[in-house]
Amino acid sequence: MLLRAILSHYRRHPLQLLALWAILTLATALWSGVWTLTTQARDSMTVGDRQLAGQQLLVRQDGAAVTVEDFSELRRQGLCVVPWLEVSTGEGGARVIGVDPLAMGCADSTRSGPVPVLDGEPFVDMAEAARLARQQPSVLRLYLAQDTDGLPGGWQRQPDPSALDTGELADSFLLNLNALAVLVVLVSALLIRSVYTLGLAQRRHGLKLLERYGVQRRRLRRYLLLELGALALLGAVPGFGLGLVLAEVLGSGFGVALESLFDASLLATPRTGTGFLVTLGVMMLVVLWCGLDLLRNQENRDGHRWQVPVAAGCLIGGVALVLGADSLLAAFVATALLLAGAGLVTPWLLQRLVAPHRDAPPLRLWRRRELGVLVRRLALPLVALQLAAGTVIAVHALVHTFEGTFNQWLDQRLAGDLFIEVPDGKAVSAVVPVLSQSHLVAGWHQVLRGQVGLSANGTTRTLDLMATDTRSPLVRGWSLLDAVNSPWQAVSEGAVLVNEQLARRQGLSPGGALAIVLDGERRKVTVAGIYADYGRPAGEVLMDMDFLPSGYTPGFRSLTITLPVNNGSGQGPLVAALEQAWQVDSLQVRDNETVHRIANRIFRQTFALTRAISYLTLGLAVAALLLTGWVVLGARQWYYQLLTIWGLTGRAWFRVIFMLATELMLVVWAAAVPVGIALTWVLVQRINPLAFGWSLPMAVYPGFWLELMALLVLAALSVAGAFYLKRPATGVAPVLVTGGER
Amino acid sequence: MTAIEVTDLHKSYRSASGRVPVFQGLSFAVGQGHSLALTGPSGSGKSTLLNILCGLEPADTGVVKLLGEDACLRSPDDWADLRRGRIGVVFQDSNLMPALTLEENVRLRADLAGQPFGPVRDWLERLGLAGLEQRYPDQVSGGQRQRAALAMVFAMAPDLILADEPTGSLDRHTASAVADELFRWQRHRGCTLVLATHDLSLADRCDQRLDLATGT
Repeated sequence: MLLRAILSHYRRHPLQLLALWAILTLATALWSGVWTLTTQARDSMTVGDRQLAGQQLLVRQDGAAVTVEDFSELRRQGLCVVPWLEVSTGEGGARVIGVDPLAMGCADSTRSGPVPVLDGEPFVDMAEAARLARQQPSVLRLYLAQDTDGLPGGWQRQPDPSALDTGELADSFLLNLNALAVLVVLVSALLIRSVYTLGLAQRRHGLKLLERYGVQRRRLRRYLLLELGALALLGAVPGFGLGLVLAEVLGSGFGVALESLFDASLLATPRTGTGFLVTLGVMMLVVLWCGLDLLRNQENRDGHRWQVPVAAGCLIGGVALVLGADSLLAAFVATALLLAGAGLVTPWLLQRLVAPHRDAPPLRLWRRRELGVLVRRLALPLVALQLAAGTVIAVHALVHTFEGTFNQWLDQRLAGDLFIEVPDGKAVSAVVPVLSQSHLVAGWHQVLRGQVGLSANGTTRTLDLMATDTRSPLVRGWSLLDAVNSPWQAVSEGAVLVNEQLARRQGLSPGGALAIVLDGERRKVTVAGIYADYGRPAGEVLMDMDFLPSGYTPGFRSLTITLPVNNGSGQGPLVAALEQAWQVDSLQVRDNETVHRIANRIFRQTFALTRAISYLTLGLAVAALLLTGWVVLGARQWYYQLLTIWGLTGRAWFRVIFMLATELMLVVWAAAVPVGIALTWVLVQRINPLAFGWSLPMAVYPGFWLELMALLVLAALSVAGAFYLKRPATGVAPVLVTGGER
Repeated sequence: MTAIEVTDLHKSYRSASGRVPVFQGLSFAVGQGHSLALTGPSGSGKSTLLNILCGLEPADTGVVKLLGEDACLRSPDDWADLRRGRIGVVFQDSNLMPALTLEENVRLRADLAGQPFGPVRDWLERLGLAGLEQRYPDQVSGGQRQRAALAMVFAMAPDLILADEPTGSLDRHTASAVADELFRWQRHRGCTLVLATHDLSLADRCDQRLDLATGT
């Protein structure tokens, strides 16, 4: 009976219950969706690591690419090496990995533990991978599966450095997503707390009445906590299911992004049981925090006293930490401090922002004072909306800056109409006569891709190598992140360029020196500049192909070709002429547009999850603010009705309420923009380099701020409109007027 | 001259069990500068009648002439104009905006009525609120709040005051003081006063009395 009396509040306010449940469910879905995907990705990487545990990469001392012949020779010498052949399978950066079950045999016989099974879709039999490798670009790696004392001459052991770096970067990427999920939970917690606290304020009278009837306060609290627990459970169960659906829907795109960015495949199955327990635990913590107000008897109006110094401390600490952050964890802690500082200082700041001048016209004075009351009463949902809107601004800036920068970068990299792979065993010299025909080709150059050794601290690590004709105008148009004077001239004279990832990892800067090993030949080269290289974690060195050793075997060769401007017949005649000159049936030809499309798709997928989460959070925050705003406005309705009684016409009354709601939204917007700008800077300049290995230029998009403002004003219009329609016709003062605080 | 003339007024409310009549052919008139007390038990329609007289609720049928005009022909915006400048309304409580000081409340009401702000402080002083001008409604007593509500009405200089239980939430002494101010000002200004009350001594101070339970 007592429980029924306590729960009767929701019979009168079903919308409140629905809102609490919806926020809990959506927050759970977002959290569990991200948790499922990131845990699945981490498990997948662990499976991959376990497969190769204790196995070291066997590389040539001369830094040249490993061939199938090398593998056969090493096996003939009795060495237990396991081949790992990665073959690109076409669009989307997808690939298959060829493993040899027979070759694994020598490793299995020496293992004490159970033999792990690679049963993920990307793994195929070596013969199948080798067949694909004849038509598609591929990389062969050899893993030393059994420890051995001696190695044949010209070979050396090496822990897989790219895998190690990839793993760290992938971890950072996943940590990034988890941080976003935590932010969603925090924003949701603020919203749930604000809705629940408002409900509690409405119920306080009834609860006091129950106390007067002799119900112990402790018992009441127990029931209320029970109610919160039940709410958490009711939200967590469907929310977790929704999260799994979300993970399923976003899984394929997320998997492709993971593969193309970090060479990591999404193999493992989701851990549903653990996931549910973790999610339930998180949601229980959230609702328990919301229930803290049960222990308080009245609103703490002096909260600002400690809030401002703590906020200042958080902001100063956050700025200091973010400027010196050299790890992702430090960057996240700094971001958390900055957000906490912003959240704590905002209500105090907004109170001052909306404070009217005493000499303002009376109606404006009233509106601003009323705004001050709303800012205080709605502090929690306002801060939640501020943080959500700030996140959306930052994510939007990140994605748009990335799209712009990436497209510009692609235009530079793909400054040609066609990209044609040189078939295995064929010489470029055979097609030079075709490429010299001006009616077929306006310009061309060759690109070689292979591997180069990097000597540092007494060991040699393998890096990617890109060699081309650096005198080509197609290359010289690249803009570099940092460079010496006349960098291309320097490269054509033997210097190298390095990608941003390598520069960051090795601490390289233009003018610095780099020790490389090419076909066994050790060289010390000057770094002439650093170029942006989005979308992969590996380090890369770019040099002029004239400086490659004569016997160097590249892993992959291609031609970049520009077609004549007035070429009405397209690529057909050129491709036919090349096929004839090389005497092959078909060629791998890709046009600029296709490559652009594929690359853009991958990168959109990379940020799809981030975007989806941030926009859903914004929607959640707007909805919760509207709901709590509705409750607060409703509690003060009598005072707004007084304006009608005092002679404001219906239209003038609507204008006043609309202005009030709009000003409320505008102050949130004004508070969100600096948060968005700061967060953008932290994302592109601090978190992004640590999570992806490359940075982005800082850019702001005021057009989007205005769009966001328009959305918030629209929300204000809807709440004012609904309030106008709901206003009572009568002027009789209610017996008990609530919400009359100033 | 007649300030209020009500003829054959009918008003009823819808309820689950059908229409509940409140007034069935109510007629009365109040002269300019006179006062009328509306009495009757709770639910007899005192507040409803006040709402009809200031245009916040429509009558079902009947004629209401207010300040020389047929009020039934007025649009909601016309009613709003009338309330803004010529009709002052006082309730039992909650007459003030909680976020404004007493002085700011009075200034707001004067501003809406198009009256100057100059006399605002005078009104507050004359009503015994000197020194309390910058206090907020929750920082003063109920009696002081009602005095401030009267100051708001006085500052707008209306032709008609509609008061719904203006002393209903006050102790006897404070109620008497507030009523004194109200009647003193009404007589001084020569405006018409209609007040709804359960307090028979207050009703006795009015020129006329209408018992809504009997319609007389």
